[in-house]
Amino acid sequence: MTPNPLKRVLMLGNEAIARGALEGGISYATGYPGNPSSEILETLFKWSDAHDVAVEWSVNEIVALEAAAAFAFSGRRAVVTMKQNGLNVAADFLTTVSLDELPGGLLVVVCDDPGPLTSSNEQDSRHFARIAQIPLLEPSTPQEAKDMAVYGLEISQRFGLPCMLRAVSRLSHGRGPVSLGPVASKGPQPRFDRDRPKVGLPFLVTRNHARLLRLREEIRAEFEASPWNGYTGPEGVSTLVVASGLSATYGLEAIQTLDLGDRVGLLKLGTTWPLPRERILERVGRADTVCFLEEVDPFVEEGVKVVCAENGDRAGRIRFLGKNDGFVAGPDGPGVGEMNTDTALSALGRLFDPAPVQGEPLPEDLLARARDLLVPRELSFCQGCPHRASFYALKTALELDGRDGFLVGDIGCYGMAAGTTGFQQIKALHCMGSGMGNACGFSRLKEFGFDQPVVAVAGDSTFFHAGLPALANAVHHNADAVFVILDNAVTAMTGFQVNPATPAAVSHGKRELRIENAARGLGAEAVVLDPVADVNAAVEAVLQAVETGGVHVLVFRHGCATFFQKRADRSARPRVWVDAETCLGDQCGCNRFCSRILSCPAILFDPETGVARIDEQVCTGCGLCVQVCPREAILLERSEDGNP
Amino acid sequence: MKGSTNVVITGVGGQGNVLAARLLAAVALAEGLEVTVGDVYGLTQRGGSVASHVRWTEGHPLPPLVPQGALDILVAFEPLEALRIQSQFGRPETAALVNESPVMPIGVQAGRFPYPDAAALWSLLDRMTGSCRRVAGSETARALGNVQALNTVMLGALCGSGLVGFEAGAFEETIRSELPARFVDLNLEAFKRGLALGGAGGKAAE
Repeated sequence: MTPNPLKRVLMLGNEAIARGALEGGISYATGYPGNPSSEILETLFKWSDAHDVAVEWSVNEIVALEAAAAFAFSGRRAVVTMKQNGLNVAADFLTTVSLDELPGGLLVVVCDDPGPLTSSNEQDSRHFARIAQIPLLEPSTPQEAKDMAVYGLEISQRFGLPCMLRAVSRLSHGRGPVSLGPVASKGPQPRFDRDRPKVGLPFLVTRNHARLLRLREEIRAEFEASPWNGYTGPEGVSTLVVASGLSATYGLEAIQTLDLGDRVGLLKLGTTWPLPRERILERVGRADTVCFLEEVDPFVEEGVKVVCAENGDRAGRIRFLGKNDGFVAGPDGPGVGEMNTDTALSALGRLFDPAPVQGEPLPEDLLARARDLLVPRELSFCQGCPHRASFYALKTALELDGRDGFLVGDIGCYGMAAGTTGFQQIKALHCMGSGMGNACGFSRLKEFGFDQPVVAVAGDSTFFHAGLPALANAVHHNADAVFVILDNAVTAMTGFQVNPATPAAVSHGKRELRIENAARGLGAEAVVLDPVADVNAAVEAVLQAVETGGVHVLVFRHGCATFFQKRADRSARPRVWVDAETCLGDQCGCNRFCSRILSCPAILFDPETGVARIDEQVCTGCGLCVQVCPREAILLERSEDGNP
Repeated sequence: MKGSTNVVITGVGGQGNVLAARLLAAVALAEGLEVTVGDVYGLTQRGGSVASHVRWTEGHPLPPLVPQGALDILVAFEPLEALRIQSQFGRPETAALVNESPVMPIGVQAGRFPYPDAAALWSLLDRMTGSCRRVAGSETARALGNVQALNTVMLGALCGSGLVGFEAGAFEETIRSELPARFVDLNLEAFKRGLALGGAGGKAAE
């Protein structure tokens, strides 16, 4: 696209980051999908051919970062994207590569998920910039996100170390106007200089660490004059808000809503490691009350306090209000959940007496009535989702076994099996592959009298991301462990990205790896089953696996219904319907098994007829309900072309 | 906030609120306003509640979410979701346009709890808003032969209501420039039918 600086286009925060990386002259973009970061690479894939950028979904975040670093080692620029949990996976490499001298540029984009909307924690990734001692940028708008990505690549190459850009969900998934700039050239032919090895041997570490800390001070000096930091408000006011990233927009809105524009100033910080010490002292030194707005942890708050403690004569006596003292707090308490305008309003409102006036709220009696009427819209496996069949099989097998067995799992659509839609089967869920590692320990627990069967579940992408080490561990230690790998061929939860288990026809020629081959190669027993096609066979296989020792890998293979149905010919779907004569409804004794227990979005209980009904517009024709109806009242007719 | 307009377009995953919000924001941008959109979704493929916050002002860029009690205009593709958003973000003066067709939550389908009584739901929405217009959005989209056109029908209703003060031509221009060519005619027709449903000059927010 030809940039016209006068024309502004609406962009998602993540699209803006992608555009910034492109304008910043990247040759390579890597990442592992995860909300809220996935759209950055999805966007770069669209531009990859036109702009000659190599883009890949790597198997996990540390491989993504290591691969991207090779470009930076060789004089090119690269971006790597991940969510906050992924940074933990990549951290081992990040905290050593920052000791290198990079001839290229390396931008590490981390999208945090405060409050979490789609995550298993709400970690504040900014701490890693401090651990690795690398510059940290926090944009407040899509425009800044784009511009900071360009700048981040530029300072990364200029100072020779990785730069971290930290977004949060509301920025990544927020849309705003962005002015585009030109796309930088990619630089000379890449070449690795063998005379400048990137080696983290112990005797080199202190020297490189000292260099890194000297660079930190050079970067701090640059940040002192950075346009990403700025003051809004009148001179001579005693109350200062210090806000980083998106929280600056919350602070400004709160100040304007409360009409405090002539009484409160706001220092916006976009460069939050290393902190611009002089810039902070200049503003904080004139205030007697300083209030912090940021998410999630008091990262800037504590950094500013250190700056003030080290410069007490210039900072003077200050009343600090933030998370550590509990003054700035959302509904779940200080340092918990998202920052937003409401939390900023609450904090600033309490600073002034009488509190500034806002509009009339809705009457409490109407809100109470609404709470009575509002029913939840619970998450559910999609119609035809193979996980419904898989978890039904797992539940049935563990019930038949009768020894209080349970599942341990991890992150993916199948994580919803901790809730109603998966029959509340998963009882431990943490990070990628965690169930498989847990299973190794549950096996050893038998030496101490533990006698409950445990089945670890993981998805196909997760198996390659984090499951392989746990499987090797289980085989090596002669564990008794059952691993059910739910292979639906795509990374569905995050938007159907390709992974090593994806068929080559879908991944445009990337090589497909078979989970069972990897498992057998590691010495485990592995069988492949389709629980949608034959749920009873899956029950039998699980039951047998939990009752015999050794390491069992059961690959439950059936393509993601939502992804593959979109590509399939609708007319080829089998037709499923309820024989209203055979279905006994509430007289059956099945307790509305199909609509209530299976709880498929395509199955309704029709109160008028008193029997179940299939919504043929929604039904994918998977046939699970046909197999499990105790009256055999649900019928299936395959089209001539067969089951898609 | 003074001088800003706060709109939420809500519905159920798959109903197309994100596209409607994008089109509305593009119209506001073309009018020279500083516009921000916040899409609120968790796992939308899976039948959850979704909402897009569209905000504009002539001043500083606004954050992506509407503060509590600051909602000016509510466009709901589903009545239960209208109540959910109004409870969270609404104020007594909010003007609402609500599609009449309910979408059953999976828990209702499974018989774990009932969908709220329609009369009670509409009466509460009336009392909780400054104005609440019921729009036959799904019915209109179905008549056009494509339920996915609901979002542009509702966008038409929003324009027709006069609540946002943008000309129909600006929306039509945006539909032509933002949508793939093969969807333009359908969506222009859906928008046109929606205009009539909005009730021109409907009671505006204070």
